[in-house]
Amino acid sequence: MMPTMLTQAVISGLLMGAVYALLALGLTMVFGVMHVINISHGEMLMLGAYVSFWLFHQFGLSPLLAILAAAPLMFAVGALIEKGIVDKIVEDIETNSLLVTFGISICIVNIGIWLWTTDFKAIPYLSGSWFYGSLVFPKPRVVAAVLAFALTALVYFFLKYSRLGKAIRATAGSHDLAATCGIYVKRIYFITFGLASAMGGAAGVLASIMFAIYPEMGESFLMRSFTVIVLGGMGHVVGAMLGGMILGVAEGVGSLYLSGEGGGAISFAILLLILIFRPTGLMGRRAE
Amino acid sequence: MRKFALLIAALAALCLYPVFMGPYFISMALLIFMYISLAGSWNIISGFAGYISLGHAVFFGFGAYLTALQITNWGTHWLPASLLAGLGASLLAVPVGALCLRLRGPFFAIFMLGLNELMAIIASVFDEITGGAEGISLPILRQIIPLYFAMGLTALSVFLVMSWLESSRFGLRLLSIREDETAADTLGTNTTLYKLIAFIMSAFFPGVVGGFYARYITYIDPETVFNILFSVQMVLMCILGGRGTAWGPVIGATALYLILEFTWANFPHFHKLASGTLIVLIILYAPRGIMGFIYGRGLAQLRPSFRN
Repeated sequence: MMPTMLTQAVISGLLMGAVYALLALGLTMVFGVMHVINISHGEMLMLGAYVSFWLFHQFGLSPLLAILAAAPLMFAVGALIEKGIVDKIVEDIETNSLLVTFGISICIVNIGIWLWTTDFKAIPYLSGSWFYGSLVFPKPRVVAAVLAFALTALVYFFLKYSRLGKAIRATAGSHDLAATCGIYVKRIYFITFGLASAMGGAAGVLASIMFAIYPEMGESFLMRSFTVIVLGGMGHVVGAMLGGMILGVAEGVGSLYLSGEGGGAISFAILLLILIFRPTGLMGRRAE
Repeated sequence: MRKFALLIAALAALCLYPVFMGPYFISMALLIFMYISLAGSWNIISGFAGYISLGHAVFFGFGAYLTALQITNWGTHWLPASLLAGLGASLLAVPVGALCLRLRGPFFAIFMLGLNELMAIIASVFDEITGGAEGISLPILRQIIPLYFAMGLTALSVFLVMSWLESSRFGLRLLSIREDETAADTLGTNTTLYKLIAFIMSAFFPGVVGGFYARYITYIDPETVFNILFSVQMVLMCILGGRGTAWGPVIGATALYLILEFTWANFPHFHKLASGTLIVLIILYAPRGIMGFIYGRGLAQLRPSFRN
């Protein structure tokens, strides 16, 4: 009995971890390239979830197709925020970008509450589960995990092999050297922030088929993705993927022992442990 | 000398204020004092030392709970209970600061955001002690004037601490940490120690006024005292007035409170939306706040600019 439950918990954790990894990848990219921790990243997820909800209810569009709409839309939103606001203070001391993105986050949440109220919404899409022996695979989670994994892999290969991806990595390495090599750093900022927001939006669509949708849903996801990127090493792409999986499994196994509100506490406990024992993260090399 | 006389006159006026004013205006002044204390406390760690705390309401809520529990369980008077709660909040700051302030970067900011959430959860989960989501009710408050003076004295203390920071070596060390921590470190400043001391100081006063506030509203629950709105207000009031200055939080808290009181008081979400927008606008267009304009006109010495 016990081993099955444990396997089940690990599997659910891995499925969830894929979505965390996708969300956290956006946060870690913006930090790596711009040295900005985007407090409003969770709100990109929330907006993506609402896009998915709205398309489903107005047009009956499948959330899987909603990604195709949500990702470009959130790219535009993120790029606008970058161009209009973050770009002006990106060279300032870190204090300012934290405060600005905090302000943006509060704005988006409360516009959301104003437009859509605080009611919980849900998308009745894909219910039921697949079974393998005594193991249960809830359909929405499997679909979300597969898509999240595919998108994460797509971004990874984009960063690794495409010209633009290489330019982004070069900028993360050194702004000055990248600029010397003819990379227009401001344009890279713009694209990175947009891409990160698009990933947040896509993660939001995936979250919309698993969780209740409400304007304040972003905060708990922001905390989780922050844990994930600290776990993996700030600004580290592979670390974010690994961290997502670890957090997912920890929460899955933890849910066997803790109920209800315990979920948020697990990610916080991991954050604490990492800060105590290995503040550079699992893949990080040095503290900064 | 003239400045000193003005200050004495202002203090005398504030002492006589509750004698001539009705309860509504006394409450208003009391809350302004509370916000001055909160914004000023935030200013110590985030304005002077440059470490942004996005969940400073955690100390406020912690203090409110400690005080309410002392009053209901032991029947303590609210004044010693609140001071003890301030010490409790400082004690909470020690491990948090020791953990997060060793590191640079945004760990601290996000950690505080999460800590506030965690404390709210703890306050609602351990309902045998804290009353859970139902909160704690205190006896009816008969006399508001002692609270007015308690809040006023706390605000004055916070102001004096900030004035001291503006001119002391300790304050200059904090400013040097904000502007360039590596340089401060290289020149032999024990940055971790100073950050920690600043953080403990900035946790004490919210704990105390949290206690006063609990006594003032006579009912607390996790939703009210760990409300992110308090954290947002501290940030906004301080940056509106001017970070890293003694007068900034005083001006910012008073101005913003009066504006909010007479405009958006009845629309809480619009209130938050406006606060968020203001934070963005101030950082973009007036990063040194109202005090920046005053300094800019040559009335006082220039301070570092927050801009590289």
